[in-house]
Amino acid sequence: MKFNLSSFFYLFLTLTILFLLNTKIGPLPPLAKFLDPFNGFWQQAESRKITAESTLNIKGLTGKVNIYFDENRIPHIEAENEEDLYFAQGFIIARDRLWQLDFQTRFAAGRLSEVIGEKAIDLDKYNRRMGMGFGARNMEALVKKDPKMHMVLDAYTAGINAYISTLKPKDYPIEFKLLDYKPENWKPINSAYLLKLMSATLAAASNDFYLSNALSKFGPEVIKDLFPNYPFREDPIIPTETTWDFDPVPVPKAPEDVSLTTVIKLNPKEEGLGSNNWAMSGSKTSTGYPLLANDPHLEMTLPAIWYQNQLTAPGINVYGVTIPGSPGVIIGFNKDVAWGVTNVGSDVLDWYKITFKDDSKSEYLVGKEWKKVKKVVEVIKVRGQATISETVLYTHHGPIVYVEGEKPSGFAKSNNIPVGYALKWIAHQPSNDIKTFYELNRAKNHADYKAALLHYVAPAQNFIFASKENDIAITPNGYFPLKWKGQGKFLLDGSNPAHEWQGRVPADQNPTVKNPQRGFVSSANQFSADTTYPYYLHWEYTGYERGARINRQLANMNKATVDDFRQLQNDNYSIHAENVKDVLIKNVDVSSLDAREKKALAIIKDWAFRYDAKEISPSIFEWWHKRLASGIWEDEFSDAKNPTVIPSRDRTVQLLLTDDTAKWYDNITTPDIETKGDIVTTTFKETIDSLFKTYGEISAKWEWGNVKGTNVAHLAKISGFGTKTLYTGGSKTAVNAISQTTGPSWKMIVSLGDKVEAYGLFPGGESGNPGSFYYDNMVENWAGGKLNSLYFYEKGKPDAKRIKQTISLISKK
Amino acid sequence: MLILIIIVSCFIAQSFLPWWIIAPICLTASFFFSSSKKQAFWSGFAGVFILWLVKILSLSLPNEHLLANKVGQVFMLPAADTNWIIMIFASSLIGGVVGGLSCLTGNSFRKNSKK
Repeated sequence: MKFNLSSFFYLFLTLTILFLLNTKIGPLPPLAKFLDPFNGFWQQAESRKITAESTLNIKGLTGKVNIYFDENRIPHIEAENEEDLYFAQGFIIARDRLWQLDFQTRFAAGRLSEVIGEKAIDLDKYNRRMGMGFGARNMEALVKKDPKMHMVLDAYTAGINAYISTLKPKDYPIEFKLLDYKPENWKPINSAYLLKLMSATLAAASNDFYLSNALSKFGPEVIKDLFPNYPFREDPIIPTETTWDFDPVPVPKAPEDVSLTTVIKLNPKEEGLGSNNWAMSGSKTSTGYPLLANDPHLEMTLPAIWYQNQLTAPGINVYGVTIPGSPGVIIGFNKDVAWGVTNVGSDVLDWYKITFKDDSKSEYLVGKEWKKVKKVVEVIKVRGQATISETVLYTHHGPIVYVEGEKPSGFAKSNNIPVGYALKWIAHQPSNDIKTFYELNRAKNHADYKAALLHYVAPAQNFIFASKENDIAITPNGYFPLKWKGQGKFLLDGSNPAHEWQGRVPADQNPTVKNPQRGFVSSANQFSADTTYPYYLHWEYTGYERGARINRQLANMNKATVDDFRQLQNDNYSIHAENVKDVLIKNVDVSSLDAREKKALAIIKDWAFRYDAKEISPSIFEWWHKRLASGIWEDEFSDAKNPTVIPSRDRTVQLLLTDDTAKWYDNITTPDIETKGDIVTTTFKETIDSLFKTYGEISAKWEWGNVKGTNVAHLAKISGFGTKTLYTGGSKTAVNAISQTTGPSWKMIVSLGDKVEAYGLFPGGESGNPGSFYYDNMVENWAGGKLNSLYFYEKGKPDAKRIKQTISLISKK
Repeated sequence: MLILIIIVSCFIAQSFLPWWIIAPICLTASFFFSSSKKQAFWSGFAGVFILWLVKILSLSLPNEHLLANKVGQVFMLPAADTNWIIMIFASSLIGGVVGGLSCLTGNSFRKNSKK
């Protein structure tokens, strides 16, 4: 045999092309592998048609499980025992959300670099240094000591893994194919990671700012004045007339040397990450039974943050939403009770200055003794690169996130972490939070609710409750460290034992109210209670405006219906606009305005404070008041060297309403002395100019629905997998808290009674597959302010009108 | 003849093996059953192209091209309801090119071995 050179050329060419088409290059997937119809992404193109009935043989079940899917493909799972129930829940969540489970766990555990490569190294280091793994391991250890919860977590894990074991590479969700990696088996600690991620989202100072020179620059009086411990305007969650029927434990005294701390720690609440909930007593509803509503606001993503399901087995029949990865139902209802949550936002994260003995950093000072530093090595695998090892120093407070020289530059999340400080954070605490949900899922009355809440640690939530027995209640609940007033508002001294958390507020003394006089309870992330509550929880909460609007509307309702509640969830009225619009307009110097500005001023003059999509005024007002706030404060407060934050919206409103001559109005970067009128007028003109430059002459383009430009992006920001721009109203200061990327991530209204009726939806769909018709099928109704009727299945009687598909899981021998 | 062999054997093999199995199949089939270079290339190209096209249509039509339109945006296409046409064509084309090249390679060995 004699070969021609060209044969080898062709062979070489073919092999090269095979190699290139099978390799991930840059952000693109391996092309032929991805585009191959037999194993590539085309396999995720789901047919609109569904098989009405099917049976799967699954190893690990003890009995038979029926899963009924309704018109929105929401599963109603019926099992013969609890173990099978949580197994089936894990199985079906894995079927619908496998990639989300994988990605979010990797995010929390600092393992994204394994699949994304060097881009994620800083993020991975950050999450590890913050002690996410430390917290998750502590949680897992405690849960495993509780036989019942251990069973739940193990069954759930087994269910997820049973599903994974049925998969061939062609079945992997599309994101695995795009990023070119494989799903791995689930571990119980992953569920702990996901719950810790909620703490990272809701109870972490990931936007921690500090004004290191604020005190020396302005003096303590100014700081006290501009960053007060209780706001100018407030409408606390626990109604002010409530009395406290417990004997408080002694509160630690503030140490005298506390003023030594010259650094104020500010954790500005990320507005938009908040929530509403309210419940009304039967005395004020049309049915005579309570109504309950909840809408948690989060950064909205596809696949959706929440997953709806109904879980039925002996001893339990509950409907609601869960976070993929967490067994049970987090917000929902059963035939006797309904409950929901909003974020509390209490101060559960503090920084402690560490004094090392010497440069070896192996011992640190506490009181008069030297304690040993524990060194923990974090190993980060990086795709396409060598593995990285990071040593994190742990004190009894928690991890020292960065010592000198460790803080990365140009990584936004860590900008505001003080170097050389140990992090004390509630998310590190061992906790058995899933037990709270386990018991709420089975609760029959107020006593069950009270008992369930005692297990809960973090992130602290305002647990709202209503029962068929006509009780309503709300409890800002979680582990609240026992602090002196203002403890942790400033950075703390880790060598002074008096600066440590002195235990906790007894769980049964958390603020709570049952059946208040006014006939309703509510929360919208504002202060938990007024200043009569004996414990200090925080000095700063989300502004009171949403809460005040909710309370005003609820007070005016009589014979309230589900639709009244739905309208309130969609209410675009802004109390913030009501508070300041007039004072702003009054201070504009009309003589200095040009024709366009005059026209804009005339429009906003007639505005009735609603952030409706079709209104132009909210676009003007929103840009204007933000510009004004930065105009007032930033000349004094911004500091190139130190990340900074300006006083709150509440303090700015107070200034505008009560002070005409404050020095803060003057722009210190100009030689002139500007007045209140000057700054209000200038910022108005700038606002109109910006809007004109962006949207042209005043026209429909200026409408709030366009200017706000709400959209729901994919979790990994893959283009094409998010929604288009949604034309919606809403504002962070209105009950309907839809901003550009955050908003009501789940809306629910429950009407209790002989037969429970419920409505709800989220901006997404049950499936996590962009190739499914159930990926974003609820978005349209969500954007239109509508709700879907929720099907509450009763044992043994699936309603043929609602059930479109049945899957039976049978134990494989 | 060669086209049919390629379609049938690639269909069977691809049902349980990775995509690159089409290369050795085309190469071998062409080694035994091709005549000219041109015939080999076009048979390989058309065989895999048609197989992939039909398979894709069988998946994407019942999906109303929902996913293909979205994936188009991953590949920098603008948001459009017609992205699926490009996606289907591009996918089939890649399969076709690999099939054609593999057949060409198989054919080149055939001529040599005859000598």
